[in-house]
Amino acid sequence: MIESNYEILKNITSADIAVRVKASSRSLLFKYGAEALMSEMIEDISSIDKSISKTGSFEGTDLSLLYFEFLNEFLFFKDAENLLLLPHDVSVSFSDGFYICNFTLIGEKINRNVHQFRVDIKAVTLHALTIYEENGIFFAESVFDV
Amino acid sequence: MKIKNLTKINDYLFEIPAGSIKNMNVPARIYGSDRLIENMDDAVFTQISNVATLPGVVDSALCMPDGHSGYGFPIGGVAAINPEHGIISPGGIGFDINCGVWLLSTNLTFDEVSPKLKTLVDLLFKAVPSGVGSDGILSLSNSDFEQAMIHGSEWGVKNGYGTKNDIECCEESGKVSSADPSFVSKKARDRGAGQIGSLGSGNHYLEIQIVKDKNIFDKTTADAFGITGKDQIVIMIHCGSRGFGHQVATDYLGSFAKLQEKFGYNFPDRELASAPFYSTEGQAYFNAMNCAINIAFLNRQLIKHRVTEIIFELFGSKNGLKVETVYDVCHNTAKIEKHAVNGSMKKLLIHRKGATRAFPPGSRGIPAKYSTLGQPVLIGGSMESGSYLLRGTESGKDSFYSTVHGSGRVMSRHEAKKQFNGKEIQKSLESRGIYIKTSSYSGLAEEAGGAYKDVDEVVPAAVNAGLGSIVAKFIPIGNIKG
Repeated sequence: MIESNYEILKNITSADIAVRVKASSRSLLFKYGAEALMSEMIEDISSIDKSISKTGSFEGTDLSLLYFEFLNEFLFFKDAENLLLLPHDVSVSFSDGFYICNFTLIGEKINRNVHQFRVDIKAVTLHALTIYEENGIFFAESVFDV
Repeated sequence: MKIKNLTKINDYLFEIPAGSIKNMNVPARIYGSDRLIENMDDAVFTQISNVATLPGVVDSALCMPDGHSGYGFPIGGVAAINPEHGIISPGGIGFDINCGVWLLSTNLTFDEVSPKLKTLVDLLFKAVPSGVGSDGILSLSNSDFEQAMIHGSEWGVKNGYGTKNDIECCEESGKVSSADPSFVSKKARDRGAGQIGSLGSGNHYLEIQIVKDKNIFDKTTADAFGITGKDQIVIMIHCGSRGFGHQVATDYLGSFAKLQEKFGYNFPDRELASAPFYSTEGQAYFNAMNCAINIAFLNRQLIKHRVTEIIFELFGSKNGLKVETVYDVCHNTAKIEKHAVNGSMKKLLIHRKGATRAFPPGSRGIPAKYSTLGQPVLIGGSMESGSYLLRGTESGKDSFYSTVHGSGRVMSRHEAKKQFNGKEIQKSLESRGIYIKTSSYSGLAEEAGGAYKDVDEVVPAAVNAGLGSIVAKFIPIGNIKG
């Protein structure tokens, strides 16, 4: 159940949506973060077919900025190409002071007869954005602008 | 009071003194009644105090009576920045650059529209794209899109999508200068080019409203604004720069965040990532942000044009049918303005995030025909409560002539979804004479009237604080919710 990988945080924002994602690795954290983002926009993300794929990568010294860039990529494709994408293969590695995120996203064109929308998310913000590790579990907290 | 350092200055103004948090060089001032302040979420006070730490803030960081928690600035936040040594911050403008409200007057009455209300709403719902990822009325070529970034509403009118009166009655005449497309990324162009002329989602809407005689509070000004009462029908359009503005803000926020150490900044919230206004980076963002301001003007211009076409299609048999722009206001911008500070006029960069400019009579920058009255100010309420038309007044000088932009949320989106059901809201409102079409019932629940403060409390609080004067109130009868 995808929703079990994230929870809504109250008392951070009234206008927008704050979520906390947890995962056993950085790679899964990014994957679950993207699924949380898409789940807040679409009633049932399992309704998204897997007919189109996109690949890409980001790198940088700041893991939370990498998370910000990665999640915003889904919003870009949604508007620029009318694509609803989900993370298929996400790998976050760390070497020589740099984090590298390689990803494959899969999905399909928006189909209003199939995809039921909740609300449009404009952006992933930097407000209260934090990534941390506790007892081997990774957490990411972020606010989505609605 | 819930905040330890919050002191009451007068019945409608509260202050958190300078020094309350580290690097807070000026006070934070929050406008509102006792009840509005008491009910504001705690994050508003934290966020407006954070704004007061920004380099170059003049006088105080301000929050309007509709303030609620956002990201970076609170919604309702205003900061006047000395551009010579101050910053520009994407988090002080928001992702939906130049989100704003356009008001159309008509000479139709409720009796004329009522029998065709559902048809009108249904036609508008089909004609004006709305909802997640919706394509716009126009998809522009690269060269047209560049011209639109530079010329805003003017591009629309030149290409047959509006009238000269539209330009005259837009804030900034529908076009800001210093809009250089070379500072806009390919991603922003790709994200925005196909969406111009669309409402979007969230709290954006297109609303049919009625003006009852009892809701005209300043007849002289109302007449001059084209608001005649007698159950007159008016139309309100609320939307912004769509994916284009969202991407411009995302691009520059991400790049500024990586430069904070270089600039020597360490703000309490990363969403406040900024650049010195006159730095290369600051000017790049200012130019790109201005392109998004112009695209938002054009977005509302195209929707206005389409709405006008539909009204003529449906009611064209009425002799002398008129549909005219009253005004178009922005409420997510940063603009260079001149204001009096300690007795002398200063050039300031005014960030308004969820706050409306409200220039007083005689100001440069308002339409000549409204010059003696003050700038029209459009305040959208929830889809259940009604909206207001105000005018700017001289008493607003302490807020750098800024005022509220809406009623302001009082309940989170998830709480609203727990408490309200979209289909039930639609049914209940229809029984009260408000016909709604939506792209998302879940989104409709999030926008329930109960999720917002009472606009009839917020607007009088703004007026009592000196932030404008009420001209008229409008009651919704039809709504298209993105």
